[in-house]
Amino acid sequence: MARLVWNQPGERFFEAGVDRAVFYPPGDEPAVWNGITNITERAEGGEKRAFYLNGVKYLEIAQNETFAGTIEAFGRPQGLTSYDGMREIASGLSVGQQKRRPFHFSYRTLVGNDAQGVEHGYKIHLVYNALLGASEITRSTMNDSPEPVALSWDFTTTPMEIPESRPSSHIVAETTNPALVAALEDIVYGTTSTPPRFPTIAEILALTVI
Amino acid sequence: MSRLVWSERNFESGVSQGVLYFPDRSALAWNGLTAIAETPDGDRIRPLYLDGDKRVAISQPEEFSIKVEAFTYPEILDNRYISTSGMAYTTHLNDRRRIHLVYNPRFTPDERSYSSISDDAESVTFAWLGTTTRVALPGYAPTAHLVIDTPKVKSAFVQDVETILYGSSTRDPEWFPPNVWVSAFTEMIDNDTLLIVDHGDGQWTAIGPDSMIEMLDDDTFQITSPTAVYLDADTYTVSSM
Repeated sequence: MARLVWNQPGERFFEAGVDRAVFYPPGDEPAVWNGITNITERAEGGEKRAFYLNGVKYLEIAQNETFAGTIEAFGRPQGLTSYDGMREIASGLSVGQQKRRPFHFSYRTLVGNDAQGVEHGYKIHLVYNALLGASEITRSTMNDSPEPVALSWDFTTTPMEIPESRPSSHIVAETTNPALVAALEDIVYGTTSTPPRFPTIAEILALTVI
Repeated sequence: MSRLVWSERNFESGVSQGVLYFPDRSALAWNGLTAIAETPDGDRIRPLYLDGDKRVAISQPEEFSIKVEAFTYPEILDNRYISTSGMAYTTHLNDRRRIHLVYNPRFTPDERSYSSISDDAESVTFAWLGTTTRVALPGYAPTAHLVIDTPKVKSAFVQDVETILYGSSTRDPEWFPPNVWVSAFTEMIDNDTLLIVDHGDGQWTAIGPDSMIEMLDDDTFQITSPTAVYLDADTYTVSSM
């Protein structure tokens, strides 16, 4: 037994950054997503409902929640427009107001500590069945201080069944299990002999027993 | 096979070459255009639940509107009841140009604020909200927004497109419905073919390479195509190929 101690060297953790985003269109080749500047994660639903009895709070139940968020970027993979309400109907000609389709994507966030900084570790985030909402794009005339157009998309997701857990559409693998992350990276980023692809839930669960 | 690499650094910027097209087939350049915000109307994703969990998300049809800001504008827009056939503008992705075609925008002016001139004079910025009406497009959802990605198209065809949209010394600018552009792109990109557009009012337009359509003078043209067939000395038929 030992008394609790706070802020030991090497235990001052923080999270930072986002990089290595990949866009996985179902049935098509994945593409790196360059130019991502922010990914905001949030839960939709999950509101708490309180029930009262005799004027006293008797019970509080959290509603089911789904994963949603916002992606901000300077650029987008070329194929993404097909999932953002556009459809290329001939080479070079796209039309708007088409059906939005779900896709998968992944990204990496960094985990730092006081000893190693942001080199300490990272998390691989896998997002299933993301559906982009309609978003505004403002384009301004060029001036003496040109700025890139800031692209932004809100997305919602549809959860996947996960054995012995609630359905989820957001899976996170952390380098606290380096073997798991290394095996997962070979799948999601590809290797010199295998193309990148988005893993199924069952594949990820199988990796956890490595 | 190769591992994914994050190297390209693309970004979009700029807007230019705004043009308004009217039902009487006239067109006006929109000078002083400073910004266009593309606004798909409504976040219409409808989730369906089963056993308390979200199972399906269905995207609903969405409308398209634009918000236009400018230092100045064609005076005809002061008529609030004016209807337009369309608006074209160009945006840039690195050194690539994209030509946007917006169908049936109806412009409503936004608030205007005029201030006394000070030692730091600023131009008044005008703004309009342009709501659109989608146009049927066989095989696809109705649309009010077409985008032409010029690097994916032969440069000669891009010149044809720009000649149609912006006009030239020998022809006026023209505005075509989406199905005409779809025909033009699917038929002309791989082959140098001829496209005939019947406007339904006794007038028609021929689009094709210079090798097929030659202006002999300001009013006289010559079409060389296997589909141009003389019926007699003064009458001929010509169709798309």
